[in-house]
Amino acid sequence: MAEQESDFQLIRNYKEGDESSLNLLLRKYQQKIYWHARKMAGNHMDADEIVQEVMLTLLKSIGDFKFQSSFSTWLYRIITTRTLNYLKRRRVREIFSGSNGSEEENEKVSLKTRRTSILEELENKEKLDFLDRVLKEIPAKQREIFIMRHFDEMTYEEIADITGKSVGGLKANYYHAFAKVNEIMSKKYEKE
Amino acid sequence: MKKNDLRIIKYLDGMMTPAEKEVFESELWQRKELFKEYEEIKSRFVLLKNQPEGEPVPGYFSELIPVVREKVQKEKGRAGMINGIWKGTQDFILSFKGAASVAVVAVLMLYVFAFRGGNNINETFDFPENEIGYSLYNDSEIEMINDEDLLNSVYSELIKGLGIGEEEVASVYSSSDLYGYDLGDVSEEELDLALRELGK
Repeated sequence: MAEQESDFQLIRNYKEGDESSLNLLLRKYQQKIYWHARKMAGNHMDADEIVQEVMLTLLKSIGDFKFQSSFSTWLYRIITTRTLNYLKRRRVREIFSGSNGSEEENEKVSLKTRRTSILEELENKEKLDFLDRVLKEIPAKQREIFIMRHFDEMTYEEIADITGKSVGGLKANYYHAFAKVNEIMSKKYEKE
Repeated sequence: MKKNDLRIIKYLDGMMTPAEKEVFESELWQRKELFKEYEEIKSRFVLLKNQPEGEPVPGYFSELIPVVREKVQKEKGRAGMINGIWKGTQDFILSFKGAASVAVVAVLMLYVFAFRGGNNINETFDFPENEIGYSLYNDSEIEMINDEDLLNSVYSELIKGLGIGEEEVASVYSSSDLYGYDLGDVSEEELDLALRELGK
């Protein structure tokens, strides 16, 4: 509740002409936006495009924010819509180009990330690659619910508010997604 | 999905009712196989949660907001330019509303009367010299028309208009009356007398 009030205050300040309040709000949420997009898209380049689309939408429409829901819910509505639309567009591009875009993009990302500590990079990259591969096996809408519940730690009521789906349906989707993830992971550890 | 997977996931998700939770926890302690399954799933659950969530690329988050703001400025600039052109055009039209209306009407009239149907405003109308005559007389009648006939025709119309009969005109205005006297029947003496009198 206190967090919601602090978000509301920042928005009010921005509406009264304090531009820096909006920067504070963006800084507060940018990692959440990125990592949600990253888990959904499975690579950095696509995640970056999604993040920029989300932030552009946010900057354009923050003036119309009515304080009727929490800022987080409002923001996640933008994130989920933009992400799913982006993934649909990417799927169409992949079908027409006959290539798997994400693998090519991952190559570009690995070049970009050379600057970080190699060991840390390898460890993180391995973890992220694995996560990307696991999440890729889940249908996009189910993946989204799984990410919101498992990683973003939202309640089912919050997710229902964002997605417009029933709590019962969300639970069923989450359990299905989790079972699938568990199955993939157990196969991986059996091999090792 | 294994038989117990759903129960374990539900337990880990914190979605069991207190009664369900109590039953499940007691089973966990009693059934080693279930406990092993639970431990495996829990370790995956935790592993999956502990993902690196720092900077994906060094400096990424510090550069993100300026990049997005720059994009917004560019979009605003483009939108502003388009709006400016549109507004300028509107103002221009509104400031010359009366003149613009006249011009529009003039152009429309030109279009309707000059260009539609292939009309040409520069066309001159040259009628053949005898076109009007042709409309009143046929060819042979025109050949017969000359000045004398025209005079006679006007003359007779005039006489009729004055109520004078054709015979009376002939007796009063004979050609000799009009153009001179016939002196053939006058004697020499009468002529001399007449000249003397005129010579006075």
